[in-house]
Amino acid sequence: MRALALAIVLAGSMPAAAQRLQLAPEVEVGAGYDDNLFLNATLVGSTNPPVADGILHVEPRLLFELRSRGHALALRYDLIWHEPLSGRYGSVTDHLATLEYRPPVLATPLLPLVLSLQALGERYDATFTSLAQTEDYDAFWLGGAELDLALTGRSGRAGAGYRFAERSYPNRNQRDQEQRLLFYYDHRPLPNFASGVTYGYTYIGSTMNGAPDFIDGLSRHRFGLPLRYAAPDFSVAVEASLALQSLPGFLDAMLRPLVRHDQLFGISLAMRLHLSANFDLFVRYDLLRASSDDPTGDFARNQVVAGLLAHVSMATGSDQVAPATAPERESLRPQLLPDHRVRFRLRAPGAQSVAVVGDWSGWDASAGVMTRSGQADETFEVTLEVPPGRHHYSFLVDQKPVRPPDAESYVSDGFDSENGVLEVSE
Amino acid sequence: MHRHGISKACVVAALLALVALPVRAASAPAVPADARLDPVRTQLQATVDQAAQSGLPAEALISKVQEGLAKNVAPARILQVVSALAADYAAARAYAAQLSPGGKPQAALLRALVDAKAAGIKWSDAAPLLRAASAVGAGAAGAAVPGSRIDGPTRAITVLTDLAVRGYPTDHAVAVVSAVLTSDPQALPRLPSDLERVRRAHGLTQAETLDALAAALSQSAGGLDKAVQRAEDTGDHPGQGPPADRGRGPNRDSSGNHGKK
Repeated sequence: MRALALAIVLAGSMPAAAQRLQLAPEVEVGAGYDDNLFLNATLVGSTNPPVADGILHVEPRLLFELRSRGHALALRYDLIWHEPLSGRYGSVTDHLATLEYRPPVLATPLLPLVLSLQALGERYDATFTSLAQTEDYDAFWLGGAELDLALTGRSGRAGAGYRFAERSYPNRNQRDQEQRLLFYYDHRPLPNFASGVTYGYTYIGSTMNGAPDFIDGLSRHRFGLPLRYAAPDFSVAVEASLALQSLPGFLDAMLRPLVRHDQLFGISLAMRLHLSANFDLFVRYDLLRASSDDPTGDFARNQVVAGLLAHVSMATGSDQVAPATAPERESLRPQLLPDHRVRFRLRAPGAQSVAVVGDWSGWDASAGVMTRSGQADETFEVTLEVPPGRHHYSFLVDQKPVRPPDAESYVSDGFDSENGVLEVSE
Repeated sequence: MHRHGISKACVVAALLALVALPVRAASAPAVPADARLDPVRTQLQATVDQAAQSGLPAEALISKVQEGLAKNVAPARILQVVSALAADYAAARAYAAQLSPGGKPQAALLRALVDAKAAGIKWSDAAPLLRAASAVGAGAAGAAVPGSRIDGPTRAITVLTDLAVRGYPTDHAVAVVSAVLTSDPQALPRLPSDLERVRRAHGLTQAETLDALAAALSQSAGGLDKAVQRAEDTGDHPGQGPPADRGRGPNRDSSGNHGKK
């Protein structure tokens, strides 16, 4: 850890690299209760009751992120470990590692677009101990990739994602190919409060022993309604979900698969209480209730976990993010010169006359006539004395008003356009 | 004797009126002598005179006339905009006076309130901000920016307007601007650019950015810089990535090995 921190400091101290490195480890430790610990119809069967037990919950997480010029590369690792407290059953461990790349936010004619590409790997192990025999009954490896894109507005974002993943079950020579489409809308109508809606379609096809599985093809439609309130010291998130899925279940007398239909209703509740800069208390409750036209598809689960979250974050450097607009416009912002004068520039291809007008000169165009920066140059400029204070200004190109393309800020001019705002200190 | 006294008082009043009239006319700036304004000159000058008599910043109205001329706006439209502006200034002064009883609102604050209204901000939404600015005290907030002539309440309103123009929801922004005004007033002018940097870096909406910074401000001693750093460090940026249903684990929605026998 010390070496890693040193590496971060050294990398961040490189003067030429405008980059930011962040390392953020955290761990949840808690205890809870699960009334259907292994959630496996085959294992428990219709004759055996679900396995219920108290659980020890340990979830360490690690984020390592590099940002440079608006690009972000994040490596995340997350382990969920549930150990039944009675010691009579096995345990559940789920390792998930993701590597995410996000390019700078893209400017589109509609709204800024956020893209992300993610590679993910997962190892899941659920062991079950029965008659002194431990069986790793639901072990799998998963590898996949996901592409997400989101349009971000003022207080809402709409996104879509596509994920392809392959699961490999070494214990039963089964492979699943999973494809998922996700659409969501997230809205923040009030400070600290978010609500949304999600829809996901998942299709899972399987092969057994290298051949297509003849009871193949799960398809699922899932609808979710998440709500979240996150005040600085307290947050609560609730999501209600409904999933409708169909999958081959029984075989009929002719060994043909009969499609079964399931309805799954879920409620999840998560609360977090901020204790100090590095410690939070958390409580989570999950309910999943399934009904099906196949008796083995009827099940329910209640899981509650509470505990302590410890987190820390180390970061160094600073990423200079370009605006999500045409970058060349940045240089056309009025410059306050050391002699307290202001230099105005405007790109005006083909213009005959250009002037800057503002309230400091009574909007007199003759006081702000701009000249070409050079021969055949489309940029006009002028340097003016502007008194200290907050001013409104605009440009006139061939006597027609032009909104300043990259002012520090804007105000309505009342004439169906906007003026730039310029602040000059003494 | 009595009759003589009345006539003397009338003469004095008439003389005072004669003296006062030119003074008032001199204090009201004249509408520019541009021939394009001739069709509306009388009404324009009356609007400016009335504003000046009421103690409103008539120069701002003249400036708007000059701006309209520079932009070749039709005179009738100039008159319409200037009349509306005068009404806005009057309303702004009445509103600001409510919040600072006994105090005479500065012209800069009135202009800031008028700009805020033009940016779609309801003054009632900004009231908590003006109260916070008053509570901070004119001294501390006024010295927010070395070399700046803008006082604390005016600065707070201009920053709020700036954020509104950049698409930040006002109800979210008021809380953040108030927090920065209280904890780190010198940093207030930097707030819009800092928010924009965090928003762009993490691909957040304006509302998400404000909420993230509000949380960081409440948890960080040391002002805006520390809070911005904390907001950037927080991996839990709301809305980043698709919400929920990450599809993790053994396909949990389907009871174990999704029904295979």
